[in-house]
Amino acid sequence: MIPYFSREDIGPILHYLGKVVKGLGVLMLVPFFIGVLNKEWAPAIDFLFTFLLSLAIGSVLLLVFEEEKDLNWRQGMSVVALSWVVAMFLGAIPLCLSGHYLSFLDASFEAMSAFATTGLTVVRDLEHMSYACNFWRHFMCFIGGQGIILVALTFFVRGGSVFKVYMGEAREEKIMPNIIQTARFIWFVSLTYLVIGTALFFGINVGQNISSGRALFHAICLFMAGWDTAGFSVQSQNIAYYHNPLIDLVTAMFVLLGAVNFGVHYVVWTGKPRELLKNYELKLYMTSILATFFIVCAGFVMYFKFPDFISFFRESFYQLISAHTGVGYSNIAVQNFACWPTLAILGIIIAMGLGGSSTSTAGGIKILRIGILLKGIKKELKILTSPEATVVVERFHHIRDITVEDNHVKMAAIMILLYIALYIAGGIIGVSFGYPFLSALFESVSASANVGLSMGITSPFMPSGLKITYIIQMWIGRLEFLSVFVLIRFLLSLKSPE
Amino acid sequence: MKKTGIFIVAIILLYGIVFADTEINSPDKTLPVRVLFEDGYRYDGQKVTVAGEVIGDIMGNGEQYWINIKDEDFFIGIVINASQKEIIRYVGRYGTKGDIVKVSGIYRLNCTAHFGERDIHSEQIEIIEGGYEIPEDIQNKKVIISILLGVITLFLLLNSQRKNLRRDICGQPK
Repeated sequence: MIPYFSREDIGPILHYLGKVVKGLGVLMLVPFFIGVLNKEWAPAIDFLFTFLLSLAIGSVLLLVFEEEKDLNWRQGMSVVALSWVVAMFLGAIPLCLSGHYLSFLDASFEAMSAFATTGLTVVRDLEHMSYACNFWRHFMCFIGGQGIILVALTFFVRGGSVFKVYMGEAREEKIMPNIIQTARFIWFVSLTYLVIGTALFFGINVGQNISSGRALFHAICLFMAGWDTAGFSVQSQNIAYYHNPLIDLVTAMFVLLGAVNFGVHYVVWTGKPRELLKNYELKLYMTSILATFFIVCAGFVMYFKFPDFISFFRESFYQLISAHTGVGYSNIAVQNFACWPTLAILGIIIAMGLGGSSTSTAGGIKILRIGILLKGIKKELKILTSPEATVVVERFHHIRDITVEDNHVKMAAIMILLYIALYIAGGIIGVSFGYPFLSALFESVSASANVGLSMGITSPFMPSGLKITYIIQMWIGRLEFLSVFVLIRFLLSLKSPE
Repeated sequence: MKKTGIFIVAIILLYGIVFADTEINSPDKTLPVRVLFEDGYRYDGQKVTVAGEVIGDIMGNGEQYWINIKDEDFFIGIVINASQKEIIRYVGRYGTKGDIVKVSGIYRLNCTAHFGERDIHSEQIEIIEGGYEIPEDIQNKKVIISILLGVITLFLLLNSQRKNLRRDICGQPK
């Protein structure tokens, strides 16, 4: 049972919130300098303004709530949930000032979509957006994928507080004994792949005769949105813009890497590649990809209008990988989904709902939870069908050998049910706004599982109520419920403290 | 004979009334790109004419290049050759309005030559409206607010620094 909050909790929570706001402000300097370098003075001023505003708000919070204490568990969770909302508002300011969004709500939608690594977009006329602003869209994905608070606090906070926010941002595993080391390892892996990925995309783009400056810009953005399974792109057409199967291949490769557990990355990096063959979650993940692809193929059996197998494979398998890893990259236009058969769409919805690995940048239910639930069901069935007093033990290998305990199964089942409830609730809200059930469910799962594929509902012209619904779904989905529940309890207890 | 004549005329008139709203697939008529998405199968493999702003980059090598054109909120990739590439002066980006081009060519829903791409292989391309540079609109209001905010932030940071210094000397306040 979580203890109730008291008013004394407000101080530490807002103190750390002040630090996060200042940290986010400092990050705005990156797009500011990109604007200056490209002589984009208007966006540069927008970023300077937001940087100063963030610094001012952060400083006021730190001045008013100056006492620095280690956060306890519930305070840490509240800081996380609150910080993501504040980050959304701050991140939305330069977007809104750019004039590419119909309203501040639209800019907030975009910011939450980026931070939560979803990739649903309501931008208008992206083709004429400044480099600075477009970079900020992708940079938010990178910050969000790594964990907003972790990015903002790792370098400023010492002690146990970092661990609480690490847990709050939906990373339940410590890869290394020390949380700071874990965070640094995640950074090390991400930055190493950033260099490799950017170099690869840069090479492909230059090979396509794109000028070196723009090729580098495209490469960095493609990597940031791909690795962090966000799925934003520099152009409205997303991956279809490049007309290049090589880009499809490399993006698919990096999104698969991004959707793999950081713990597995660590074990492989430390010289144990056999983990790739033994890891239960990874094996289940591959099985799930094949199974959902089978559903998609079955959907197309009666509806095969492709001229050859390559066209079919490129369109169907890419969208499936995109859905299952939660990246939301697409090499077809949104309108193409409207021509897909219902069963194939269902295959994509299931893939989106299941998501990627735990402790990765992917969203959704996460494969490990499904695996634990399956093991739990198997264990119960064995108990039911075995003689009394038989001891049934189920094990699986995930970095180390783990024995399935009732507590694991219970937690996995609760999370799976919560996600399913979130998916259905969003679908029902979509239907209540007048959209067909399949499209509404597709969009709801896409938002909640932080995928970003769309059947066309998400647009600047969708109802405001639906935009707010998807913002909440993206927020809850990315933080995996817990910190949001703690924050809600905190806010309720402020109203009626015990 | 007279009855037959009246009957034929009536049939022709009826046909005209029924199909008056239907877009006739004439290769010279400019189609909205939207139609190629909404009714793609109808135009698959046929010669079509579309118009739109050239955006982003001109990509490719040797004899074959890709451009993307934007018509309202719809996009389509166009395959052009080296000589057609030369006529494009402006591509739409930040600060630049791209050339509006009219392209005639064969439309493919899943082009087998390009791994299933939805594209148009251009046969003829012409600029119907030239692109241009768009000057930046820097609002003085934003500059003044930023300067004021800068002064306030500096004051707050100095104040915070002073408090930190005092705390370091006197210890954490109770």
